[in-house]
Amino acid sequence: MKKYLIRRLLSGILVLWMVLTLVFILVHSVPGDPAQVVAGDLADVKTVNEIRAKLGLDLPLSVQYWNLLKGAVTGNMGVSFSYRYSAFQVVIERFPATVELTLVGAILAIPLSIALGIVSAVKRNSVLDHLAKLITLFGISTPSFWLGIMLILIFSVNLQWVPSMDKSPYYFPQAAWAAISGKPVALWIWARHIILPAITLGAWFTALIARMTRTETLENLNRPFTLTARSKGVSQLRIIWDHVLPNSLVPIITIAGIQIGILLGGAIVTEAVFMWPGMGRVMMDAVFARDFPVIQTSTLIFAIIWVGINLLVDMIYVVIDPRIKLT
Amino acid sequence: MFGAPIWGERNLADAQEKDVFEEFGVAYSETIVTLDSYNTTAVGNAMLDKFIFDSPIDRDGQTNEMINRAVTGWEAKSDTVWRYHIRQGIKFWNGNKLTAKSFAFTQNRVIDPQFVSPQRNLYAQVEKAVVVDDYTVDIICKEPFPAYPAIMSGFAILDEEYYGSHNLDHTTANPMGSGPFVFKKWHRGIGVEMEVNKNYWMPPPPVRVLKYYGIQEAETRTASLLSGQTKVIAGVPIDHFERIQKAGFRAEGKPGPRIVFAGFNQRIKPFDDIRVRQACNYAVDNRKIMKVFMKGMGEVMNQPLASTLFGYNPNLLMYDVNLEKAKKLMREAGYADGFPKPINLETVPGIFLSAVEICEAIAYDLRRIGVQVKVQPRENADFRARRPAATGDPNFGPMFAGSWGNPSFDPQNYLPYLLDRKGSYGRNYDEKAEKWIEKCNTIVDRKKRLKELYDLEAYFHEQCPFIWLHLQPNTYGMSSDNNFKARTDEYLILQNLKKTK
Repeated sequence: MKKYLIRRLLSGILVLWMVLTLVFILVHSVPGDPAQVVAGDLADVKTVNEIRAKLGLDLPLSVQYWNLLKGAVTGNMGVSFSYRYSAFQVVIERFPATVELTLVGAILAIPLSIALGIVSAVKRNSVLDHLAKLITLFGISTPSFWLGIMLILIFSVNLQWVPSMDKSPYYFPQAAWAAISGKPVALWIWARHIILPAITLGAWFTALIARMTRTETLENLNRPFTLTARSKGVSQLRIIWDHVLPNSLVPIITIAGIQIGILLGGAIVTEAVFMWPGMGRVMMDAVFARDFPVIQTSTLIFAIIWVGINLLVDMIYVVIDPRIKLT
Repeated sequence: MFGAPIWGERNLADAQEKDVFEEFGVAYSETIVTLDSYNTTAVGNAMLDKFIFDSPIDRDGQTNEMINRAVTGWEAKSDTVWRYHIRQGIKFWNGNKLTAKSFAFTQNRVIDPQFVSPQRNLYAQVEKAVVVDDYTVDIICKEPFPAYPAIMSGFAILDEEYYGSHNLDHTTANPMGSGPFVFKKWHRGIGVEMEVNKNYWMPPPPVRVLKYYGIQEAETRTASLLSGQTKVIAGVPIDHFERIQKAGFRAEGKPGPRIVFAGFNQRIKPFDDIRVRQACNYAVDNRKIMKVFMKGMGEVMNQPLASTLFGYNPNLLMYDVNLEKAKKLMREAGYADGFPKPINLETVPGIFLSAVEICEAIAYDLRRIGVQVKVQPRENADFRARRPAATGDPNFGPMFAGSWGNPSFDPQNYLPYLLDRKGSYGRNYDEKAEKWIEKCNTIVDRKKRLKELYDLEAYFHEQCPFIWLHLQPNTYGMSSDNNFKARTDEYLILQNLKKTK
């Protein structure tokens, strides 16, 4: 186990270095001049050149690359071209908003999708199964941009139940603490703000996991251990809970783990539609503004999360299925 | 001495509670990335500055006349010296007085080579600002600078003591102004929250808490209005108007400073030939484009400056569609069968309202005289890097569509950027015009300057450096409980705001 962890850690570092190098090559290859973007349309050539020097873009590429690697190790990723303060701070202050949105999206999606998948498999070819299939088809094929706008039009514009944009002033722990301290309205405000973006973000995830669960459940329902349990008179519910579900969970967790990583990155569109102040929007704005330090920092953070999630998923395998050994 | 009277109607001081908005949300399409006004040229910041800071002047949103704000007037002491008289009784939120020192400090900070402000080029002719007495400041220019008073509507006056003692890391997130709203919190990625300045030197707008949202997505911006989160939004796509009005809200457009054009790279054949450029103007139906895409709210153009700008020549004829004449000009230029291969028309989606659609309409019209045009939507940073004549791609275009607007409404902030090779575009420069533009930018006498500009406009009218398109309306959406009206200057000034329900 220890050897395995060290190996994974080293391969993780290698992955991060490759990601950083690739991003460095990419940002310097795409057309567009960051100094020109920062200077704006009113600046003359002299001002653009001075801004270029101020941003360190006149340094040789090898020096810029070395500074990037040094910065990644020391935690100093440079100053954002647009915001003019630490790129790390720019990204990290948006990190909680993205994580909160992703987690709430996943928390809404996972139980619902597993329930949907199991019901669909157990009641195969019934009305429930067809309904579940219809829901998952809708979830998979609907672009989040469209779904987000539709939800806004229905629940914010027409019904006026929830806000159309903006994040609540509280994060969940703050809202929960305020609720415990006698201000339940804080929790309500938090929930009203996050519900639409979380549904939008989680729709595709729900559909994917539900489909996966259905397939795995169907497969396990026809396995010898299920037939043995059934012949012994074990109830359907116990069979599902004790035998089918644990055996289905390994591939589901693998996919869910990967998908949470994708959700983090895929929150860009949802964040843009709902004005959610997360990392996705910072990253998108940075790409358009050619804000290299912010692009590199956010990519590095995404990569770290990705490597971390994959490691975590491997650990969870061992807990769920004792037959798996990490060597 | 120049200077129109101060703002007319005021209300908060006498307003009753029921007439005051507890919270008022406004939105524009740009996310705020800094709160130091001189570290950016973003329109969103210019809008925000009007709430946080005082500027020497404002514009009347309807008539476009200059209105005194933080000054009581100004005069030309000589061809190279402007003297400004500062209004007494204005205080920054920290209690410091707004004086001639504040004005001079702000001016000198913008042109300071160490500060490297993106706005420095706007003040390129200024040598320094000098304090004459507590409330009088002289702007010493290297050469005559007639546009100076006009650009003062975008000049946010800073507190010398505060900005002189804090570095950029601090001021980028913590502004210190004297405006009608006191900065409260910057919600990064969302907007800025402000509270009414109860000690403002004139009665502030009837709003307790003001929220500025930077909402990039037009759909989200419109939804924020319809759901009640905002009460005034700017930059509304024309095709949202009907939806907004049907929902019981108001949507208005008003011609402002933003001109829309399709330009030629005159360094490349076939656009080095004036006959080809004129033929293109006779082939493109700009009236129809304006009617269809601007719903008739803009104005058709025939010269670089629009009717809202100083220097516009009203005596020039329109290039109405005349295919016979266009084909004749093409024949004379040796292109009877059009061009041998399709040419690119580059633009950026969103650079002006319905940009890609309008380019497609231009391509359709040009096909009628044998010119095959391929519309090439580009990414903004790529377009901007390749565009300038001085530093960009020599093969840019050879056609490109863009827009330009400046709240000064002065030709100095248009012609050099569009038609001089040192400018942001400058693809269609000629040396004669460059010298002429320079001359117009140094005539202080208003009448003489206007006459010279008339002649220059007539020259450009004939030379056709652009396919003249239209003056784009400033578009706004408003809730029905206030009296905000679409403005000429693209701003969101709330000074005359009233609750109507």
